[in-house]
Amino acid sequence: MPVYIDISRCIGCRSCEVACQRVHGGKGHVNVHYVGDTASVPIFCHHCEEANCTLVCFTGALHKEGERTAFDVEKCTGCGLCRLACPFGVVWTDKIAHKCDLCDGREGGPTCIITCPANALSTDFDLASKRARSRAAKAAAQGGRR
Amino acid sequence: MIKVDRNLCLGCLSCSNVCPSQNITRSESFEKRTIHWKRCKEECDLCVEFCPAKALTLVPFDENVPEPEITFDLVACRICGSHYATEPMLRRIESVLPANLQKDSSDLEWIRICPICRRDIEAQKVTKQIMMTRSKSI
Repeated sequence: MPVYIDISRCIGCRSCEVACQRVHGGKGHVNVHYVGDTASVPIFCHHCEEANCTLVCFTGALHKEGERTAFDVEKCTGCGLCRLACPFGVVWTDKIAHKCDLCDGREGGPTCIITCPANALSTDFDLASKRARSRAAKAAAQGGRR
Repeated sequence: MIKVDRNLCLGCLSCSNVCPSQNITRSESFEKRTIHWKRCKEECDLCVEFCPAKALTLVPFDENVPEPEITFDLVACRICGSHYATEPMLRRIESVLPANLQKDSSDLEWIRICPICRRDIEAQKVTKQIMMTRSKSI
């Protein structure tokens, strides 16, 4: 199950970046991007249903495992095609490819979610959509919907 | 020895990465990537097996044949101008991905944009959505 972001909660502290690097031996898979002074957005793998990276991977190193876009390090040649095929720029190649693995095997799930001090990340799609709906409802109640 | 089909080679990093004897070297400058295949006597065909383009074959050792070398110009990102990929690699991606996935909702040909700018664009898109709800609640 992918990690969902609630951008309105992100405070741009980069804790998720650091936590990800810590768990993955210094190679992180989250990048917080700043849009002027208005927002900060952690960018990472969407675990796309039809993932481009798996379509171009000729050895089968990148493949789908249920909802997850998984990676088999043994099969990777580090060719770099996946890096170029990802529309979001969230697959890296450093001798071999690396990307978000949702902290596979880690007790407690993805470290970025647990670390985020603003509770901006979750694996719960319903929570993300519920928050978005309640924001919209609040805006409507305040007569702000124009 | 390794024989290279120049018309097929993508200029990717596969063979130089998998070669256990460092017989395939790669040098990269700001705008160019050069791959050099040394005269190789090893009985190993990892590079042949792991070439995504099937551009390599093994041929009998011959001192008189020059060592193959190909230099690729790296393609510049349409947004920031940084040189990020070889043209054959991008063409390979364009040939594998379905046409409807090669442009985003705003008709942007994202394959021709470097990964860093792709992340920036994604951040801007998401921010636009949140700004709409922010302005509604003021």
